[in-house]
Amino acid sequence: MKPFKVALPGSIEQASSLQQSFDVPFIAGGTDLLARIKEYITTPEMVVDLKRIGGLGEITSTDHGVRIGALVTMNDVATNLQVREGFPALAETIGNAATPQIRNMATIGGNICQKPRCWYLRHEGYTCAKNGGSGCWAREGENEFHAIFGNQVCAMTQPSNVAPVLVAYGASIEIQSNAESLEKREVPADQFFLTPEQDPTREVALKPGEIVTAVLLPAKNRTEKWSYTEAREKQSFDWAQASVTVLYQRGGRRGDHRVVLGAVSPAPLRRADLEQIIAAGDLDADCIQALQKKIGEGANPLSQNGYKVPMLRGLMAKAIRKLNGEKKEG
Amino acid sequence: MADEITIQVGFGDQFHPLTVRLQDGDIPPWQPGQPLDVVGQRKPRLDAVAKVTGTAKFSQDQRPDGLIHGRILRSPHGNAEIRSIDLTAARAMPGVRSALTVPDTFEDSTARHAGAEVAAIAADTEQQADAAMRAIVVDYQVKEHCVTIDASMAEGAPQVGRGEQKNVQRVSPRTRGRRRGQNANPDADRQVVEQMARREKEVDAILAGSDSVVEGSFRTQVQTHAPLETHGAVCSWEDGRLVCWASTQATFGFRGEMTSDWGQVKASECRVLSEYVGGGFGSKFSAGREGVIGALLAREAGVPVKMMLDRSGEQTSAGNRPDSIQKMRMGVNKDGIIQGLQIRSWGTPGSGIGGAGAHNDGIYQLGEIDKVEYGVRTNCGGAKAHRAPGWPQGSVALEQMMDMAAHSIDGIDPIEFRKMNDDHPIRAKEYDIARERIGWDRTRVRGGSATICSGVGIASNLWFSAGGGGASALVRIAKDGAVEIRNGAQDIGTGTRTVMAMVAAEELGIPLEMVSTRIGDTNDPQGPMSGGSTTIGTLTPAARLAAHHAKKELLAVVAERKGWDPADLDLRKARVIRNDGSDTGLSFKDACSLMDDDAIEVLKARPRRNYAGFSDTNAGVQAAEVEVDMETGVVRVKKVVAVADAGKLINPMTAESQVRGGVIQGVSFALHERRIMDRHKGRMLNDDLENYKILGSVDCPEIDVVLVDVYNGKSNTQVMGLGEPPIVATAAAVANAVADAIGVRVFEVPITPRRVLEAIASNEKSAAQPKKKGARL
Ligand SMILES: Cc1cc2nc3c(=O)[nH]c(=O)nc-3n(C[C@H](O)[C@H](O)[C@H](O)COP(=O)(O)OP(=O)(O)OC[C@H]3O[C@@H](n4cnc5c(N)ncnc54)[C@H](O)[C@@H]3O)c2cc1C
Ligand code: SF4
Repeated sequence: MKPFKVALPGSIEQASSLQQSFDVPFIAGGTDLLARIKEYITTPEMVVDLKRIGGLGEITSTDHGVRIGALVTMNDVATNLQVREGFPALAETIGNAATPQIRNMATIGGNICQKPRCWYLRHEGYTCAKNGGSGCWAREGENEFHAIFGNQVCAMTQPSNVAPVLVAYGASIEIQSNAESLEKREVPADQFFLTPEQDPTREVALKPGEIVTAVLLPAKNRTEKWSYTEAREKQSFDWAQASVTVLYQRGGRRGDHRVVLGAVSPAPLRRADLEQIIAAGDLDADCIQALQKKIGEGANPLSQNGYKVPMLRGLMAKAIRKLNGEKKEG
Repeated sequence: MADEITIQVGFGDQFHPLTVRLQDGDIPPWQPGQPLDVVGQRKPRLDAVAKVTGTAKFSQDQRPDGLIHGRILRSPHGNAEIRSIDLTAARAMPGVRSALTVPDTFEDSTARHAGAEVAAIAADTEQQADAAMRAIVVDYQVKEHCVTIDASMAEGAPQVGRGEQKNVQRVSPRTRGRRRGQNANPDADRQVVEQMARREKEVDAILAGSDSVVEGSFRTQVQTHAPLETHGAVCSWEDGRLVCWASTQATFGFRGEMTSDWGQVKASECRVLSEYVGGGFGSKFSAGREGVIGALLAREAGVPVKMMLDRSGEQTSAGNRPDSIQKMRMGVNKDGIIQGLQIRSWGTPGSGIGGAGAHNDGIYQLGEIDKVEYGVRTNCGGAKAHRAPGWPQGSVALEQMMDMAAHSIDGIDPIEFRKMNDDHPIRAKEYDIARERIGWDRTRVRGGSATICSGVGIASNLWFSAGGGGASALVRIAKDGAVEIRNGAQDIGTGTRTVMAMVAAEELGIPLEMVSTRIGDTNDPQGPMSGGSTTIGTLTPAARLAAHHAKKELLAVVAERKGWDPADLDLRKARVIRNDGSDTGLSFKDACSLMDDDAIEVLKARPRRNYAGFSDTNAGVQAAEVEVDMETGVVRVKKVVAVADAGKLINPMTAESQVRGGVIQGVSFALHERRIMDRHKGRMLNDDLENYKILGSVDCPEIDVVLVDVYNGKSNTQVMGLGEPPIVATAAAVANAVADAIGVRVFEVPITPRRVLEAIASNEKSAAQPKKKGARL
C-alpha cells in the first residue's frame, strides 16, 4: 500500500477542518477504508482518525430516543439492551453482519458510510459513473450480485444491511462540521442514502468536512411486530443478496407499516405499495400472495441477477410468516 | 535376497493368503492380529501445538538478516504482447536493489492472461517495492481476449493460442505424432477421426438397444487452489549457493529446477527448506516463475529476497482446477445393468490444453464407452493439478447420470443401482455403512409446497496410490537413547511428519514421544513430492526399513556385549525382550548406552516396486444430506458421511483429518467456489477471498468419517494415500442430494441460490406444459 499520514484530531471541529475534500478520508474502524487503500482503490496522502474525538463512543437514551455514537462498534450496538428491546430488527441485523472479528472493529458510522462492494469499483483501472468517469461496467458485464432496482446509472447495491433497517425505523443521522452554515444537522435515514440519480459519486448525503456523529433512533416507536429476513450463500463472511425488513405497527389496518428492501438497489428501497397491501388486509396467505405479486414490480434485472426477484418473493413470504410468530427457519 | 513369504491380505472378515517375494532386503508387512503399539493409534499431529500457537515458521515467516521484498508486476490486460519494458524510473526509486523483466528472463513476451508476470522488483520495504513496481513502464500491444469457455468456443472467437493452434482442440483420443504447438499429422489425424466415428456408431447402436437412455449436460466451474499461504519463497545466496525457504510440495523438485538451466538461475548448489507449508492442493510442485524471480532478484541484490505472491497473484496465476462442460448419454437395461456411455467433454486449462480432461468414466462398470474430450484455450491463468485433478468435476457429471439412470428404471434405488454396476470389493461394504449412517431410508420433506426440503445423495470415489520408489530415510539412534528420523520431503499438512515417526517408533518398539523427526530439507535423504497422494505410501516403507535395520544393529551390539543370541532379541515398549516375550532386564536406553560409537545411523531406500496386494485401488463412498430453502435457493449441507479406506491406517486421527479436509473442499466446490472473469477487460473480478467464496467454519456440515482398515499388502506398511480421494465424491453427492430434495436437477456446480431458483422456476414452467414423451429429469 501507499504510505499515508494519520491525523489524530481531538475535536469534531479539528477533524472537520482537516477534510477539505474527500481525498482526505475519515477513518473509524478501518475495515473498509484500509482494504481500499491496500488495493490502491484510494490513495490518500492523509487519513483523519476519528477515534480521539470524545463523545462519539456511547449509546445514550434521551427524550428523543436512543442516540448511538458514530464510533460505537457493531458488536456493541448488537448487544446493547436499549437497542435490543426497542429496536430488535437493528440488533438482529447488525449482530449477523460480516464476521465477529469485523463487528468488533467496525463502527456504526463506518457501516453506513462504507463504499459499495461492486467488484469493478474495487479493482484498479475501471473508471465508471461512480468514480468520476461515465458508464457502468456491471450493467453489461458480471452482475450476479448487483442491483435489480434503480440500476440504470450505477448498479451498485448499498452494502450496509443495517441501512434498510434504519430507514424502516425512521432513524436520523446526526451530522456535524465546522462550517457555519452546516453546523449540526439531522438527516432522516431515507434522505441520507442517495441514489445514483441524485449523485452517482456519493452514496450518502455528506459533504466534505461533514462527520457522522450519531445515529438517532426515534422515541416514538409503535412497532408491534418486526421481521428482518435476508438470503446469502454463506452464513458468515458474506453479503446479503437480498433482504426484506418489515415493521408492523400497532393499529393494524390504520398502522403506518414499513417495508424496506435491501441489497437489491443502490439505496435502501422503501416500498409504500407493499406497505399498503399489508395495511389493507390480514397477515394471511392472500396477503403473502398479493405482496409476492407486487414485489418484483419496477425491477429491471440484468443478465445474471434475475434470480433476485424470486428471492425477494421468498423473503417476503418468510417475513410475513415471521410476523405471525412462526419460528425462525433454516 | 529373494524371500518368498505368505501374507494375509483383506479387510473386515474377508482375508485371503497371498504369496509375495520380498525384494531389496524388504521386511514383511504387519499381519492381521499382530499386536501393534503405535501404528493404528490416534495420535495428534506432532506439529499441532506449534501450528495453533503460531511458533511454526512457514516460508512467509522467514526473516533472514538483510531481508528485502520482491514484487511482481502483472499484466492488467486479458491478452497482450509486451512490446517493451522500461525499468529506468523504477530502478531509481528509493530502496530498490534489483529488478528484472519477464521477456528477458523467460524469453516470453506474451502476456496471455490478466495476471501474467511482466516484470519484478525488489526493494528494502514492502511499500518501496509497491511504489517501484508501479513506476515500471510497459508498452503493451493489447489484443482481443476470450475469458470464458463459451466465449472461446463461440463462432468467430478471437484466437487465444499462437500459430495454428485452435481454441478448441481434441485431447482424447489423441493423435499420435502431435508435437508441441503444432497440428497433428493430417493422415494420422484422419485415422483417429475415422475410429472415433466408428466408435460413436457402435455405442449409438448399444444405446439404441438399451431399455432406457438418459441424457445430461453438466457444467462445473473453475476452482482455484486458494491456499492460505501463497506461492513463493524466501531466497538467499551464500557463497554462490542458493538457499530457498520455499512454500512447496516438492522440495527436491524445487531444488532440481533451480540447479538446472530452467529459468536461468543455474545455482550450482541449492538447498530447499520447507518445514511447514500452508497448503498446496497440487499447485506447488514447481518453483514457478516466482521462485526463479526470487532467486534472481536476490542474486542481483546481494541480500535475501522474500518473494511471496500477493492474494491477487495467487488467485489469478498460481493454478486452478479447469471448468468443464460434460455432455453424456447413458444406456441402461431393465435389470439395472449399464450398457454404454457416450461422453463429450470440454475443459479450459488456460491458454494451453493440458489437464483439460474430466475423469468421468473411471469408477463403475459402464459398458461400452465412447468418449471424446476437448481442451479449450482461454485467456485465463493456467490450470495446475488440483486435489484429484479431473475427478471431482467428472464425478459431478457421472454420479448424477447414475442417479438419473436409476430413476429411469422403475424402483431401482440409487445405492442398489450402483452396487449392480460396481465390482470393488471394499466399496460393496462401504455403501451399506453410508446408507445407514446418513439415514438414507428415513422419510423426508421433499419438493412440493414445503419451504425447506431435505434430500440425500450418494457418490463414490476411487484412488490408486500405494506409493513407489524414490524415498530413503535415515534413522539415527544415539548412545544417549535419542532417536531421530530424517527425510528431506515436505509435510504439506497431511501429517507426513507424524506418520513417519509413528512407523519408526513402532519398528523400534519405543513410544512416539521418543522419536524426533526432521523433514523439509534437501540436505536430508531424498523423498517424494506430495502428489498423487503417494507421499505416505512412498515414505513410510523406507522409514520402517531404516528403523528395522537400525534396530538390528542395536540388538547386535547388545548381543555381542552380553553374549546373547541376536536372533532371540527384540525391542518392545522401550525394553529389550526375548522372542518368548520375557524381559532381558535392559531398557532401550540401557541398550543404547552399550554402543561403542556415538550413534547408529542407517540409511535405507524404499523398495522400488509394490507387491500384488489385495487391491490396486482405494474405494470410498460418501453420502450427503442437504436442506434447501425453496424460497431463497440457499442450500445447506447438513451432514456428510465419508466412508474411506487407505490401506493400513497408521494414524486414524490424521487420516480422518485428510477426509474432513477433502469433504470441506468438496462442499465448497459444490456450493460456492467459482472464478468470475470480466468479459470487458478479461480480468478476474474475484481475485480475493471475499468474492471468491470458500466454505467457512459455520457453514461446515457435520462430517461423519468412517475409516475401513485394509491389509493391502502392497508394501511393508501397506498404506495407500488419502489426500485426494475424499474430495472426489463430495460435490457429486451434494448435487444428488439437492436433486432429491427439490425434485429438479441443477446441472451446474456451484449450486448457488441463483442456480437453484432458476432450476425451480424452469421446473414450474415445464410442469405447466405437457411433458414430452420420454423426457426425463
Ligand atoms: C468480509 C466482509 C463481510 C462484510 N459483511 C457485511 C455485511 O454482511 N453487512 C454489512 O453491513 N457490512 C458488512 N461488511 C462491511 C463492514 O460492516 C464495514 O466494513 C464496516 O461497517 C465499516 O466500518 P468501519 O468503522 O471499519 O469503517 P471505516 O473503514 O473506518 O470507514 C468506512 C468509510 O466510512 C467513512 N467514515 C467512517 N466513519 C465516519 C464518520 N463517523 N463520518 C463520516 N464518514 C465516516 C470513512 O471515511 C470510509 O469511507 C463486511 C465487510 C467484510 C470485509
Ligand atoms: S455498478 Fe456502479 S460502481 Fe459498479 S461499475 Fe457500475 S457504475 Fe461503477
